[in-house]
Amino acid sequence: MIRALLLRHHRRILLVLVLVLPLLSMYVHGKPREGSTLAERMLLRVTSPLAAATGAFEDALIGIWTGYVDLVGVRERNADLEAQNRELLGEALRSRALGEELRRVKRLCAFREAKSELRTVPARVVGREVSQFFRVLRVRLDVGEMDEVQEGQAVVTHDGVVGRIEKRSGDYADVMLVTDARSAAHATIAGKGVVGTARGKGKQKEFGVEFVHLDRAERQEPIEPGDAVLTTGHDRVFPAGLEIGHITEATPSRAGPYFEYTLTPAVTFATLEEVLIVVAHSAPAGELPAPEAARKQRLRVDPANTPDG
Amino acid sequence: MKHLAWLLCFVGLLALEAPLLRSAEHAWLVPDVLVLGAIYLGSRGDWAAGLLTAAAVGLFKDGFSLAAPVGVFTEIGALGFLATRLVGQRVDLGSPMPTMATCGVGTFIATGLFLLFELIFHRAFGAFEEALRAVPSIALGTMLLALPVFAGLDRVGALFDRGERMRGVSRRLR
Repeated sequence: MIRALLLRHHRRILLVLVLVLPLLSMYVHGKPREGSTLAERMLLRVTSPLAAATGAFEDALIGIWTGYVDLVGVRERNADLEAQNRELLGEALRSRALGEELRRVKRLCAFREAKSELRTVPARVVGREVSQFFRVLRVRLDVGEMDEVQEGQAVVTHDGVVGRIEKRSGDYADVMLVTDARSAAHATIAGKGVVGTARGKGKQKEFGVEFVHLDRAERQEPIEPGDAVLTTGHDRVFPAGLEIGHITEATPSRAGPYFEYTLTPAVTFATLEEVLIVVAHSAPAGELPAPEAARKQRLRVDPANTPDG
Repeated sequence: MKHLAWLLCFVGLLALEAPLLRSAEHAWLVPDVLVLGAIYLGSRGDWAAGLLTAAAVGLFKDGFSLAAPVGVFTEIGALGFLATRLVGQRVDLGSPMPTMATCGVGTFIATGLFLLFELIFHRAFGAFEEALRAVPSIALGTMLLALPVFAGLDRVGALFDRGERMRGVSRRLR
């Protein structure tokens, strides 16, 4: 009888169940309560893995879309970023240049303090005359209105000798570098007991290379590459004890009675920015190796390069 | 079997819909799959199996959303199915335009029912304004999605109908 009743009214029963049960569920689940019900837990258990899987799938699709398809505006943004990048690179380079300048000036100041016997004035390099092979032949300094700067004065840095003031006109002064063919400086090889003259070679293809004429008589120790060549101060132009350069070849060539060694200058002229001009210094009295004294000591010096010569 | 296959299809669509609904950025663009299910089942399904399937789709939507009390979407699914049965007697739901129009109107009614149930059973719900503001775009999305979804489900139903016909022929031959 119940079965017949169910069969006859199955539509109505189904309708009531489908419409009333959700209402009951809403009533139960709408109440404020702690924790979740069995129905919620079961639904979560069924739907959570599906939602997670489709979520991952959609994330992948969105990733493909945003990474490979939806690139509208990327070109403009890229141009903006490139411009920004250029600006930042410029700033970084300026900062680096300022840092370098600060380091150089610090070293120059330290050198100036160490050489307190010299009276020097600072100057900035404003121009370089270069050959077609990019060898620096001459530098120009901005000396301003400093009257004490005169032709013939030595120009030095903390690294060593640069050259001498060749010509001054107004606020500017041209420097003849120690590598110039006309340049000569009285020199000694540190710790080797020999003196001579460091001359510029001035050859087009021998960049930054100069000749030194040295007397080898009575030499105790062999001359080796890397040996520092220093000024003696006897020429009354360059103060004593400044580095001119270092020996690059151990084997000398003969030029008459002299031995010639090739030097590399201590100063890199191409990157020179700040220098010191020696406006006054005390020559090492009594140390001038006169030809007679040199002969006594069995040392041979080129007479043309002594102050008297 | 046909209704079970349709149910699986709708569950798949709900699963795809769920992550989008959780994203505030995309929620207002997501079509209402439950409305599609209720209207499709109401227009193509059998009475009893269709009603149960529509309610089951609603129950799954309850499971995926869990923002509303369990039963809200089940009720909306069942009511939507019954309403479509009534509308289907006067409107040709096999044609594209009436189908789209029914889906659009159905979305508005479903949202209204949702808000009504929320108001009655779920006092904590407070986003009525946002829900009303999102309805037009959701309705538009539902209308646009209706035709491809219905076409796909028709193909699925046709597969089962053909299978049943073949089984009937072979039974008669035996």
